[in-house]
Amino acid sequence: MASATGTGTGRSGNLPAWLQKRETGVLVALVLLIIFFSVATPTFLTTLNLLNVMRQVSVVGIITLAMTILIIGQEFDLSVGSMYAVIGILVGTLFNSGMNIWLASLVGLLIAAAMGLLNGFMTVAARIPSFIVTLGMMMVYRGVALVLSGGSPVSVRLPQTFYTITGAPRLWGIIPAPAIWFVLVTVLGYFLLHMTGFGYKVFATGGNKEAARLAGINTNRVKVIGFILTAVASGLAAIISLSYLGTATPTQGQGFEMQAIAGAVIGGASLMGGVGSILGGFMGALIMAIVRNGLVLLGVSAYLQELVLGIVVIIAVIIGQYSTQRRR
Amino acid sequence: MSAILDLRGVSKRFGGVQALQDVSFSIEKGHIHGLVGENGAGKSTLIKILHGVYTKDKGEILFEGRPWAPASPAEAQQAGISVVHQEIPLCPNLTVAENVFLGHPILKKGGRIDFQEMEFRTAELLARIGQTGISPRRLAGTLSVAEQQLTCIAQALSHECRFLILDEPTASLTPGEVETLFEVLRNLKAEGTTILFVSHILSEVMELTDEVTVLRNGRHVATRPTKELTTADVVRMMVGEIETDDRAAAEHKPQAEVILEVKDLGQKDTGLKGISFQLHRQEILGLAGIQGAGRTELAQCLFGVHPATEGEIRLKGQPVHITSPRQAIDLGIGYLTEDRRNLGLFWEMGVKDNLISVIVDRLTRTLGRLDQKEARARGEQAVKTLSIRTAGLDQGIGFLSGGNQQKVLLSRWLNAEPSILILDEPTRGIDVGSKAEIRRLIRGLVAEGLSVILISSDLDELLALADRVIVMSRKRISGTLAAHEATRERVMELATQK
Repeated sequence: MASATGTGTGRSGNLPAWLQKRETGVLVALVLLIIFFSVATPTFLTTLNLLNVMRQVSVVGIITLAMTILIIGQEFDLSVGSMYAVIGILVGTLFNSGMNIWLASLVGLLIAAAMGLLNGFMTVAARIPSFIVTLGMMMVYRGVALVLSGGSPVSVRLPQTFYTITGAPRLWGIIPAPAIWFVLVTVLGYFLLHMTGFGYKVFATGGNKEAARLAGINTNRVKVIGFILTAVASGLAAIISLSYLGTATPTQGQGFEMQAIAGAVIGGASLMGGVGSILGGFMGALIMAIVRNGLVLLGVSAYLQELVLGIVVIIAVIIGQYSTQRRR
Repeated sequence: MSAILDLRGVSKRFGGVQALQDVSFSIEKGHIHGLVGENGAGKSTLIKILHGVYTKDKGEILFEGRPWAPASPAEAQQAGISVVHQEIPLCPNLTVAENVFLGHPILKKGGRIDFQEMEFRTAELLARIGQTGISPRRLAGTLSVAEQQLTCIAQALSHECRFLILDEPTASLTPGEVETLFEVLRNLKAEGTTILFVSHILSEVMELTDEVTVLRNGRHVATRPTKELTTADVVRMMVGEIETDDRAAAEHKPQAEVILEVKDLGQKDTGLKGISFQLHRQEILGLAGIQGAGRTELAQCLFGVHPATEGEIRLKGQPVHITSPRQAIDLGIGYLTEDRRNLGLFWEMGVKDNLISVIVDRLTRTLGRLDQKEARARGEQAVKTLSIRTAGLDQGIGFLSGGNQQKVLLSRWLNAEPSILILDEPTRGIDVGSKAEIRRLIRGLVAEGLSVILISSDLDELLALADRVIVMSRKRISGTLAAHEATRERVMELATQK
């Protein structure tokens, strides 16, 4: 199925198909960044560092992928960072009070789904723009996290099996478990968005909601599912993070919503809906993580990092846009 | 008389499609020049090149003797060429005056916008085209399609243009409004403006223009004075063969069985009231009326977009309450919208993906996987059956000409295999050849079992296709006519009833 990369609005009719895709522009940006940092600092292109990057990207990356799907459906969720904190605190607290960690995780994911359902319901039923709804819920859920935790972090000592599967930094000596989850979610996301009927409906709903409705597509249901996916992704990310760090704090995840949206947009998702891809989201998340990592290795001040990251977002989007927009 | 516009050897290619090939002709200053051609003949491409949206690959264009290659529509407008488009680009959240002066507002000293002056001048421009009924203060989104088009013309006039291009301007106008438009165009001609009139409605082109240029398959066929040509001549040049008589005896025969019965239907928000009629199996029921009569509202009510608030609908004898498009589709009703730009096409998708919108669930297999092979097969079938001109199934829908886009939309509905299909202006903006094709197709489908409700502002088409005609006026039914008593006069009489 068309990854709806912009060939539809027909702006670059004379290039071969693959070159027209937005993903190519993102890939170019990614490669350029890798080359740049490899040259700028000797420690970037080492196995140790690259594995670190893979691990670091995973938590926000999972959320970015779900956010990509939501954005293609023309909605936003600004509460992902807060949901991430709530679920982390919740699962940690449940485990510490004696519940089996697997059960606690399941409960966490179900609660996350409920939060997503709430976000979705308010958006479609009350017809309030999702931007506003989730802005409010971002603050609400942050409050919930603070209340639940009493303001203090929750520490856990997880059983070995669970830790190995979800949080271990070195499986079989090399691959971090979180990275495997990131790749897993990418594969699942790819199937869901690009190979199923549901994925088609997401593109249709985001591309032209009225036309989708007239074609008999239940656009409300599509959007609500999008919110649920985003929330569950946040929950999964929280569990992985809890496992790896052994801790959840009520203030964790602040800024995740911006990183996730930035990652999705860098990867080619259009804020107008109807355009984007999982591969793009994957690469977008990677770009963000690589830049963060590279800047640290270069010894750039922490304050400057945000500034540089912002510039990178803008440049990456421009490159992505340029590769599909040519004067006819 | 000197030529105001000269084209020499102009060519333009999009991917696999050669949209224009070596086109050369001239347009005389101060004339009304017609441009006709089938779908995909290159008319839209040519207009967009003149308007600065596209750049030509090869050839020369001279405007007023100087090379013409604007970098953008804004540049083209300032240099004297304005276009009134087929698809209406107004901002619905702005007023008429703001839209007319979009991009070049009138400023007071100090830089603030002079709304009063803009409203005054807009009222002047509208009066010039006979539209004193449109207030410059109204939000463009509240205007009817016809009023929006006239606002676009006022917008073009606000640029002191010397060369005005009109692309299918009469598609949504009533006969009265068309006459007014022609008056305006003749006045503009007398003032010295040159006009390029692009239209599928040949009777209008023959009536209005001094010369006409015919394009076919991207090539220039002829440019001749209109007086020297008959409509048949023009059609022959456009399609390369003589069009067969459209009013052929119907191959289908409506059955006695009533497949859809509507009693006292009313819809609060749209104002429909007291609608009662029957649709028989394998019948083509025409729905006539002027703009605003309520035809589309009725269609959308039957399709579940605006569920009925009064009255009864019976499908094959069973009472039903249709509350959503999905439900209507599951009941076997399809609806081809009149507004393909905003309500029909998915602009980011390709041809194939636009085709499968209604049948996504039918193409979904285990685990939710979409059967792409089946989708492709259906796509190829549709392209063949309807002769859709496209570079491929994955070609972006925005690349196709208006008529081919409409064919894609029609295929979308045919794929859903409905038992009742409501067609809302199915041949609007489509060339002569494709119109005939679609009409043959409709007849064929009805012969195979489909029942059709046909909404069309093209009275000739309606009378040629329909077995019976229901005429609407002011959101009510003013009369029902059998085929033999349905004449233009009778229909217009009922349509304009007080």
